[in-house]
Amino acid sequence: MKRILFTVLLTVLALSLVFAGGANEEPEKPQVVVMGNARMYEGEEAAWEKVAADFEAETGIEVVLRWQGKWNEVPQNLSTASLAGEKVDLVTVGAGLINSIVARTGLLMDITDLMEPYRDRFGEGMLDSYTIGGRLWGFPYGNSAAGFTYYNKDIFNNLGIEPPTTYEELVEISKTISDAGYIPMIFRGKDETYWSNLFFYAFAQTTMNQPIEKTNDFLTGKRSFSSPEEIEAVNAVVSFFEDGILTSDSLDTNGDGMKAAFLQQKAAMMHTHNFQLLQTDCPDFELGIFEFPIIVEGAYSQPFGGPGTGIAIPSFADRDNLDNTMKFVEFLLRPENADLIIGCYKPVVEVVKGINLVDDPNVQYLNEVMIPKTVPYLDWIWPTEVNAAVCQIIPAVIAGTMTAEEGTEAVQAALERIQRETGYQYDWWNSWTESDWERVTP
Amino acid sequence: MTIGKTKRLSSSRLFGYWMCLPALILFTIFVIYPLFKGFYISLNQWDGFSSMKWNGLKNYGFVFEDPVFWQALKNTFIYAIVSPVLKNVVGLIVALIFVQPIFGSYFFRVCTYIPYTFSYVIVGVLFGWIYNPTFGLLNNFLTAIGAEELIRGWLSDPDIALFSVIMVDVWKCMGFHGVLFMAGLNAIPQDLYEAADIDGAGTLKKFWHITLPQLNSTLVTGFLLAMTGAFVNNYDVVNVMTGGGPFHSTEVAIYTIMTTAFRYSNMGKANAMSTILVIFVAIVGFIQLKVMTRDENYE
Repeated sequence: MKRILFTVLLTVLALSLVFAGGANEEPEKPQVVVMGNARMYEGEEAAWEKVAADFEAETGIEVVLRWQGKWNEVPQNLSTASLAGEKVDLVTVGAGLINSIVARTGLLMDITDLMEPYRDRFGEGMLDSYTIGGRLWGFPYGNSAAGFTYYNKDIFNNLGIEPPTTYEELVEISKTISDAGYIPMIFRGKDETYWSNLFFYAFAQTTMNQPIEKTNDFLTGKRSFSSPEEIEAVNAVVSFFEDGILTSDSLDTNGDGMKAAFLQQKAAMMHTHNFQLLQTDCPDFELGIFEFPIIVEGAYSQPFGGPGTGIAIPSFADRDNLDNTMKFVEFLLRPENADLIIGCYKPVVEVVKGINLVDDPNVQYLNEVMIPKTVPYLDWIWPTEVNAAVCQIIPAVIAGTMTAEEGTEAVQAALERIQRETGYQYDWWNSWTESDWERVTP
Repeated sequence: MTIGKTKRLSSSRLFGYWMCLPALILFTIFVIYPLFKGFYISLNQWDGFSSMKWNGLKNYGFVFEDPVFWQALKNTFIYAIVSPVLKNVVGLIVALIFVQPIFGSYFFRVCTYIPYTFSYVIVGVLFGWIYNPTFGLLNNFLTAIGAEELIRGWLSDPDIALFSVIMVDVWKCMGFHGVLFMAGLNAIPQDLYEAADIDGAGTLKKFWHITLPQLNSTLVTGFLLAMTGAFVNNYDVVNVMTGGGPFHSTEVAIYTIMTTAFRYSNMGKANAMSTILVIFVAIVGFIQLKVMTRDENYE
């Protein structure tokens, strides 16, 4: 009896160990496997399934959709898939992740030549955020936006105030709003990754609208982050608190809390990094938007943004299946299919040509005034460690834990640390060897 | 006869070892192997994507130079000391109340225990709203009772944010520790109290000289469980509530390791941090085990 029990146990254990690894069985018919984070918009998953089914009906190629984890877990999931030898033909990954980590680690295919026939399917400048070192590493497939400030027109009208264009005007109306019992401006300060957003807007002006150039200089070692422009930008963000525009309410408020405070008319203004609300979301009052005010004379207000949600091809994708993969990419970029999926995002910018934009009074202002002068979010250019350092030092300076000078030095130290520890190089594409390029070339 | 008996014994003992084998294999695969693999990775520069580059002990040097890791380690120790103490003190108070024959005590016991069944993510989100300065119950309650001077940025003030997070953990686990103490209290022989009554002992004296010594083994178990959990089980609540901020004031070691590994893709350094943490936890665990498992604790 003992022997039988022992044999059974040993067999079960052996079988479970053998089959735990799983086997990559060859599919019966051609397949395109799409891996990505869990879909975030209502109806998006169903839209993908509909497009996949239509594609299969047209071409006979099956599309397998695998959604897992959050958007910022995609690099980790992609890495795991690569190590496990999983089949992945397309991956949904944002421009921020592609720029900050995924492209330079060699996990993505250089799709410059593959996408050449489809470049005209995208809105003007939409591929820029996916182009690094002159090569294309993905393409946008979602919404695009720029950061700005929402305001409650009803509260403004009742108080007899106008949207501000300068910092001094912003301080003045904030006092009026505060005296009337409202929170002047609400911001999602509890979500630490958003602190850098306020810095971008100030930095654009303290550098006289050269934020990208100065950032490139910083990352290539030509300038220090503790330069006067960076210090001035940090101090400008802090002055939002000192001058009563932002209050302590923003420090403990996340994205949901921020929207709730604004929609429940507890706050008169809401600063966001992208298009968060439509007029239809605010039935109780009229919604307006205005640009970041002028804080430096001679500079203009410059928004940050770009098409964040995108698609790429992993470098470990099956080369023999690339034809099928590109057929599906072409299918996705057809206006009717793009509209089906991207429509779920309530698009405000024509990322893929031919999609229908939402009907909202503020969308026109966004597209005509703000989008043309929008530059990419700096945290798409900074390495993650630098972005984390910026996000940590701003609340610390606001809380008085450190000065702006100490804070900017800490950011500089963060860059030097990753250069020392990981050999970080901003222009990584210049140091890649032939074998590195071979690994990512279709 | 003797030989046959010895054979049977050794065969029986062998069977015992064989029965342990599956568990041993799994333990080796999922604990021992990763431990050594982690140490090996800590000697390399690796982003988790490309091939590893031998780095020797450099990653350990980077960790020792990293002020964030030491801040996180300090926070971990504060967490691992404050949280078990509070969990046990509050759990004991809860148990002392609920062992009394009060109306609806079963209902209140269940209410107190239920939070323990929630995940840290749920509890973290819930308390995120309770601590919210605009809508939060806590600040609104303080306003309602006229205690505005006590209002704080519970998660944004670096001086108190860690304690705000610890309180959430205490609230979640107090029911569990309460149940442990209730079992302990019910096991204390009533004649000890009767004898004390005859001797004229008051409530406080009975508590100090009978209840507490009799609960010693429960205290040891409760403290051991809470402290082990506090070292390695606080990533999710910190991640959900503060993300380690403001300015690393709530960052615990596990959070720093996770961030270094999966956000910064610095696997070598993250594994060096893990190795250092394992050594620290092993030392603390050894001391704790030595001190708390002395025979007199259970007499």
